[in-house]
Amino acid sequence: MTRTGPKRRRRAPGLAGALALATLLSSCARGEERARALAGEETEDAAPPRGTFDDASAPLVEAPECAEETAQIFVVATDKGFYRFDPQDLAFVRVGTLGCPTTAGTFSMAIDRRGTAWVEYTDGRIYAVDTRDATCKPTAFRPGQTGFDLFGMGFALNGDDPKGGETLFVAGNGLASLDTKSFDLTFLGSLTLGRSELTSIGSRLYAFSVDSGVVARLNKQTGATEATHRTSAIAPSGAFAFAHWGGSFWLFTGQTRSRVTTYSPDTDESADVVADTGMLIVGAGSSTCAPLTPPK
Amino acid sequence: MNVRPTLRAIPLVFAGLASIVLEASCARSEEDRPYATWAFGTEGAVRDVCVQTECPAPFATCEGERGLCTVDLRSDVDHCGSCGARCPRTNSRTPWSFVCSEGLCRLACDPHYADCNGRVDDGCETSTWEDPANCGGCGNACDEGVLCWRGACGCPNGFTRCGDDCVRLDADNENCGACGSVCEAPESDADPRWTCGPGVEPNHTAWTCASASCSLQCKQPYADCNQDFCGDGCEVDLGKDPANCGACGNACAPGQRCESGACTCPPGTTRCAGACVDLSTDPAHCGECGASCPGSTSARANGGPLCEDGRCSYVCSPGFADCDDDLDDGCEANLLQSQRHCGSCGNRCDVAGGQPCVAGTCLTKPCDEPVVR
Repeated sequence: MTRTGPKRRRRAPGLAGALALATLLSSCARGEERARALAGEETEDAAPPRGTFDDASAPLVEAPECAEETAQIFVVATDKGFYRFDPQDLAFVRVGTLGCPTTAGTFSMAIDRRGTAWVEYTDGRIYAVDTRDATCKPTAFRPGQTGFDLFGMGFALNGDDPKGGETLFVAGNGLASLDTKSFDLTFLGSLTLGRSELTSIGSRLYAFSVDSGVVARLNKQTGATEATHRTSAIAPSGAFAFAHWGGSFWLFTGQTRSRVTTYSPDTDESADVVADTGMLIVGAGSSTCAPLTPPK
Repeated sequence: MNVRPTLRAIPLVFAGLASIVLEASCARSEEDRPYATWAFGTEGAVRDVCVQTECPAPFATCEGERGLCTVDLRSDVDHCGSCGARCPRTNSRTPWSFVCSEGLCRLACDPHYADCNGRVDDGCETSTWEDPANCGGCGNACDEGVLCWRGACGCPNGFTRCGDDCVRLDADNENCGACGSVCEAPESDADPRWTCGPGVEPNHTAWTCASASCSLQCKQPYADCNQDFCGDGCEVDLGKDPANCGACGNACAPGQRCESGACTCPPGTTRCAGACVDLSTDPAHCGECGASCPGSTSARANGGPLCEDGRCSYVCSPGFADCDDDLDDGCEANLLQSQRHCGSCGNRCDVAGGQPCVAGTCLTKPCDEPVVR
């Protein structure tokens, strides 16, 4: 990430030469700039260079895996409010307002095991949000890869053992995996569900489509539907979001304001647990750290 | 960028020496020199690294495309696997398209369609939305006589089959309590559902299906908060009344409005141009209403305006930079591919020598023979 302010600040003269040298070492600045900097001359160009990869290689969120808060559900609303949702007391706590460098709206979200929320905006770009304070950084994701403009997102473990890592899957023009280091998108296969959001129970990947209320277990290699569940959360043309927690799916659906419905694949029963959240939720996510069974 | 405090003590002479080494390590040619790096000094230097013009996989320079090594053969539908290998084109009427992934053209079906016969020539020929033989997926057959409704067999819990549709008999005005039973005003004045008297429909009421029976109910978003249904009907607009916002008795705080049944603006936000915004983070209202942060907001700007604590800046996406100091074109330089801004602004590759910039580095290779200048 590089940042350009309206005015570049001037630094203390003693530090300027050393800082300029460090800048040179990393960026091979132009010759005349080098000469001025090495002579200790304070210049506007002693400011950090624009367009290096300093921040791109840094971890998006410096946090251990599966910290306590990553075991909850997070949601993002159309007003860019970012909330933590406690499924046990059905309460939303506003973490903050997303301040990503864009005027586009929010579209979908997934949460990784370190507490990074990967948020897609309506301009097709993906931003990395720290779930602890809603701070935001752009990512190197290239919008529109393989025809994927807007899509749902969700992480799933690669195997039963969490040490095997996790993969970010996206559902748009089919099912694809997205490498969160290179930001390359790999097409895996077509999806029959329609517009979908994704979540997982451990290593099993699920998609939810509000057009039909269907939750489908997907083959992670091909996108094929392997099992189908029927929920009562059907709202054609509405906003929707999807997460897993405690063995149940949590469905956020609505036209102008969202309701919360749970669906248990064990009992095949749906229940409306929050009739009106007071906001329109467009993205939800729980990490693969979320409990797989209801807490006792 | 982190700078260690020890750098403060670096003597100028060392800085000058470092500069020479630095020059030697830059994979950049300011004078269009054919050799990218050399071992030390200038006169008599031995160059051991030369310009590389061949693209590393999966990149290629394809005819008709701008730049060198700018085509990714893994994902480019016009050059899928090799230059000129175009994936088949489809039109908007066909429910499928082709994508290029990992250098192979792949069939991508539109939602609710699938390629069940495995033939590429007829694309995604099967509708999985309502085909009982392929309901929700190829080969997923519903039981005999069971409806395939929106990609799944049968109706969801709480829904009942009416013909070829699944409906909620408890809340569907066209199928209230039974298939085809339309909820409307009773024809007979003697009907007991005229609860306020024959033909009397209080203000803001309508015949509505609720709990599978048809009766006079408040229209949305009105409510009968004073419990005088047959008198003043549903007298409160829950969508606008700040004393009854969203529900009877739910009063908004002083200064708040009631909009669409919610008290606005929420704490921490301010009303600007009809919306509730956070002045500390909103690039369109940064610090005060209407104070829009400068710079391109286009999705192709490769960056965007940022508002932090009510102050504006502009942030480039990783791999891009604003090298021309003009925010109107955003972060126009692709540091991963630009020969003139390769890896950072102003870092030129050997343009005349045809040296490509790939992944932010000017390509080099060992010289066939060491060259002494």
